[in-house]
Amino acid sequence: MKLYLVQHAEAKSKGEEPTRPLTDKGVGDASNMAAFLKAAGVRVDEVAHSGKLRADQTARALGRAVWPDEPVVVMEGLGPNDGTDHVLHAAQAAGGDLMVVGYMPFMARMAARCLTGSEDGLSVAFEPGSVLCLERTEDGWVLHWMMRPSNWPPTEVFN
Amino acid sequence: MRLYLVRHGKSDFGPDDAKRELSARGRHDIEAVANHLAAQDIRPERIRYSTLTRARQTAEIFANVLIPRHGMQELEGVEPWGDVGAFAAKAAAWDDSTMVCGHEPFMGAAAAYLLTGNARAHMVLVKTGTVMAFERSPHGPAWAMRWMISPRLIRGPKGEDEL
Repeated sequence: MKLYLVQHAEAKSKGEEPTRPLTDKGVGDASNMAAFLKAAGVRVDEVAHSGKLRADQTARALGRAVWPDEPVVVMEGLGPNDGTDHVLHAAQAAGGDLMVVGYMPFMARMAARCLTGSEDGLSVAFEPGSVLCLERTEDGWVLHWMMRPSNWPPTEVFN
Repeated sequence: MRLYLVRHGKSDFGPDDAKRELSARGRHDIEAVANHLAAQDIRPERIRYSTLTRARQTAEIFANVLIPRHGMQELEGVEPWGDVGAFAAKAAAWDDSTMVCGHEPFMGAAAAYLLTGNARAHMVLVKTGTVMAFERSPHGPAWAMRWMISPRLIRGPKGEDEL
């Protein structure tokens, strides 16, 4: 069972646009990441996000690649400063592979919680649009991989 | 300062473990990962490798593609049986961004040690050809993970079938 932790892609500031949609770069980064995940053969059983526009846009972009023809869902407990219990229990109960899209510092704390048992047990340098893949095994949660938008030159699109 | 920990590519079997060489598939995997890094202009300044042949061959492929400014050097202590605490102490003093080509279970334990201060096993799944990138945290001695990729991720399942 896998858990994919995603920080929403780059969004406009509150001052620029109160609803904070993704910037052009954010849209491009999410699209590159989606194409990459598709090419890598990543498929999930559910894509959930926190409900804010920037998370919804990111979840939809990735969802088209990893969970085609299914609507993304809104999930509680994905706020930037929420505790990790809710999502941890949801992931353990999911019975399939789950992708959650939200914010920092929650995503780094979630990764630390899974891998070390403590929300500040290690640090992960997320940047907007990053994806981290964990798998729950008989030895507990294991880190598989992590990709960031800066893992690509800005012009390259995986298609 | 960036640190890149690498597990050597897939290797042929042989009677002398220290002299096992990369297989054709292993070379292909490492070339794919090296080209992926080059495309992002990720260029470690130095590449180090363990005393075992398959790690040196892995380092040679990376060096040919990434052209590290300070070249490549052998490094003792990153073999499968290496001491991760001693390694972390060495890496803490490095100023050049450095790639280190070594083995399991050392690399997984080293990654866990750099991130948590504890060489816990089974925290990181390090398949052959995997590269893990770390940055030194501005706060305290710990490192933060930046990214982690494997050949399978870059190639995708289709590429795997072709080989």
